[in-house]
Amino acid sequence: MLSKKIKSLSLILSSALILSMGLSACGSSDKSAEAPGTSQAASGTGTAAASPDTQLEPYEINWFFPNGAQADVNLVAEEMSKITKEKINAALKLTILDWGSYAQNMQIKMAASEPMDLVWTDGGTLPYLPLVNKGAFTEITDDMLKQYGPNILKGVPETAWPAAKVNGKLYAIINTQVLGRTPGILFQKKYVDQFGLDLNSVKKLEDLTAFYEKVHAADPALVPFEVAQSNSGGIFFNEYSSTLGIELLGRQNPAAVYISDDSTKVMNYFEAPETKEYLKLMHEWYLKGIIKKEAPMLKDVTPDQKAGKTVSIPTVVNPDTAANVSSKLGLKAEEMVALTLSKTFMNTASIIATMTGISKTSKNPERCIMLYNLLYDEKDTKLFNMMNYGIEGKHYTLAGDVATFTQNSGYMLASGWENGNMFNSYRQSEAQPEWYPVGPDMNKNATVSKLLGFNLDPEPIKNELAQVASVVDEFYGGLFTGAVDPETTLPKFLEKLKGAGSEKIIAEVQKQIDGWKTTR
Amino acid sequence: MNSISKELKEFKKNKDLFFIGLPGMLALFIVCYLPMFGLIIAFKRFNFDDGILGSPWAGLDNFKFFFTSQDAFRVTRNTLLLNGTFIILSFAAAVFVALMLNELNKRSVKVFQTVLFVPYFISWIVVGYLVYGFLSFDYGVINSILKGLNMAPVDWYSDPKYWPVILTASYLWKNVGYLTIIFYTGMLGIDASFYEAASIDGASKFQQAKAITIPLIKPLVILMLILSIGKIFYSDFGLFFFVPREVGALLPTTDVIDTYVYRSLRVIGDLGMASAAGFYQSIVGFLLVLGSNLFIRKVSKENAVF
Repeated sequence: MLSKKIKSLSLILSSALILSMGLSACGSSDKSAEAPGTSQAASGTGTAAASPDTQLEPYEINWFFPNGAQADVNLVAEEMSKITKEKINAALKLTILDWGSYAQNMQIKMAASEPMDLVWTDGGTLPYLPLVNKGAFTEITDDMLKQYGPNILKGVPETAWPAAKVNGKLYAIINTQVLGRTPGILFQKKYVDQFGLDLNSVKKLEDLTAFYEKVHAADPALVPFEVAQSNSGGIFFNEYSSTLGIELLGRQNPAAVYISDDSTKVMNYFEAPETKEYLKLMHEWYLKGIIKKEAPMLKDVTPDQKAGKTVSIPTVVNPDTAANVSSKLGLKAEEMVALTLSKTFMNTASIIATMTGISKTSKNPERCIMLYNLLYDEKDTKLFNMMNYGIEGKHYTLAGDVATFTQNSGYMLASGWENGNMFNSYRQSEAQPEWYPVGPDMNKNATVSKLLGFNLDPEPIKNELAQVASVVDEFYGGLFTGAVDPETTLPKFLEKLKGAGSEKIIAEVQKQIDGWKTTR
Repeated sequence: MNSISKELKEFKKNKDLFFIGLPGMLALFIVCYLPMFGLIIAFKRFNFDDGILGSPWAGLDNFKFFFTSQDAFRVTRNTLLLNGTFIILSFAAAVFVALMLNELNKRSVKVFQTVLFVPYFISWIVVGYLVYGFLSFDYGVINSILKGLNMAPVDWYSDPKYWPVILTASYLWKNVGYLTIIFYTGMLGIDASFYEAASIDGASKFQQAKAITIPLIKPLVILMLILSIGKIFYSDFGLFFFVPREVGALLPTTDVIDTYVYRSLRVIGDLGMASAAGFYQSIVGFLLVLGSNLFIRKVSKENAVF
């Protein structure tokens, strides 16, 4: 009897122990995560005080952004701090969070009003607009930019700023890259030469039919025009629509406007005659074998790419695209050529794709702008490149302006589009054109959306958006990979869209755009 | 009063056993009952700032999206018909296969058991690729055979009419083994003296199965059946999402409630609307369990689960 009691007691005790262990484990991990941060902050400010610059108070800038983990991040931050202490008497602390947990972590930190300075934000991962509405960011006034950030004003094209403004006020600095999107096609150069395609004569997709037919006739195993269910091919219309003069608000949102239309009249882009022409062409190509028979169910294009069977890839063309994509096909950068189909098109989504805001909890927003000003400095790109490539000799080697990473070195960020002016970056290959003046020119010459700065509030039409999204999914793949005949399927699709409420969506978007225009 | 004291007595008597069961019951409570509180999200206009309790009430607004949809009938029909077919065919097949296993000697049973059970552990994503290997237009096994027989290859992934059969076949291939093992285990528990007596009386194998085996595993089959019916409104998401490879043209016969809700809401990501769909599925599932048990109680009372 007694031994039984002892047994049951020990059972209770052990289960209690297990539970308490679980609890304490949670608690202690919290503490250990917090401790190094605070101690480092203390040491950072301590050393900064020794700096000779007496005009500015010493400060430590706390910067959060998403990327893959970097083992040597503190080492690089220390090295960067040497430069920043000298120039603006501020030390730097970098916190890199992985993409998957970035948004959640930052929302918790913001809700808890943790002290932070710079916070990376965008349109989708950690969406800018809701954060501004929640008051997460400090306003960045024109005077602040003029006084502390002249390089920023020089680097960001003036046309882009309205996209980042909410009710006329700016809450984040735009990270400069090619801010618009340029629809185009990448070709394997050997086929272009072999079948005598003159890229300069190609003005629209239709001009390529004869070339693709020749390619297909020569070897039916080749993939002349890469289209698949889930890659750039299947959703190429998102980009190519700007060549046709249409601006989309989103692939699954039928509401769209004509880029050149000053009255910004909203229409259904699936009903546009341009779209129908495109679908007819895709269907023609599909029947001719230019598009793979399996395109509507194909999810992975890498086997064809690796086998070198892919002749051309429709995509967004940037100066470094050929160099980036060629490696996937096992080719050298110069073995691919890019054709651009129309001018670069810049709209809200393409601009706010990467920005850095100053947290409301920052004690020194001015110093944050000063730091960003250093990263935007075209003449002295050392600090910017240190952040992206690490310490020279340890993490990378430099030949001219081409940086080569040391394998397994502990720091390989190479993410200049996240933290300043991408155009200040070293190149990673000789074949890539130099960013100056190609990059800034693309931004300067881009066609600018008339809806720059407009953001749709989905709340009044969310039932319709959900139903429409489902209908689009049902028909999009078949139509846009060319597998089905638009003459018979498009009318069915449009009718079903109406049944799901596309007209209500268009009316509501028109109402919101009209309202937005009067407040501008 | 009397019954409470009886319960207490029972508890005192089996105190140790109750304590052993405690962690399990706690886990059940935490995993299955606490989250039910979250069901109120289905009736709220949820936002992160106000939290679950603080968000404003939305009435039945979140349910509108599904019930006003022109596809509501189609996906409900597909869900019920396909799942119904799955249940009937998989149970019939499993009972049949289990009966055959029962007639084999122990060594060969092990081989068959393993062969039948393996598909159950293969993920739907892999099954999706296997099916694709069979049905791919250019390189698929079936089209290669058709070509070898001088017949025109079939474009399986563009015509929805083939898909109820393909889905059913995939489901059976993956799940029959699992059910078979359960039924076979039930058959092992049957007293061998029944069979001895029957064979002395000259009963054939078929008569033995009909008169002994099937009646004795009936309660087990009915229990499994009621559990399956409870899930008839939930579809095996992996099957309906990965096997048809998200090809839009196949949706008329492959779209079920789960995939419809997933496709509609992955863009908007509205928690309230997704919870409303889940709530609807749970309620219907609950009613179906009650209904089928009621039906069984009417037909044969001793076999009802509760």
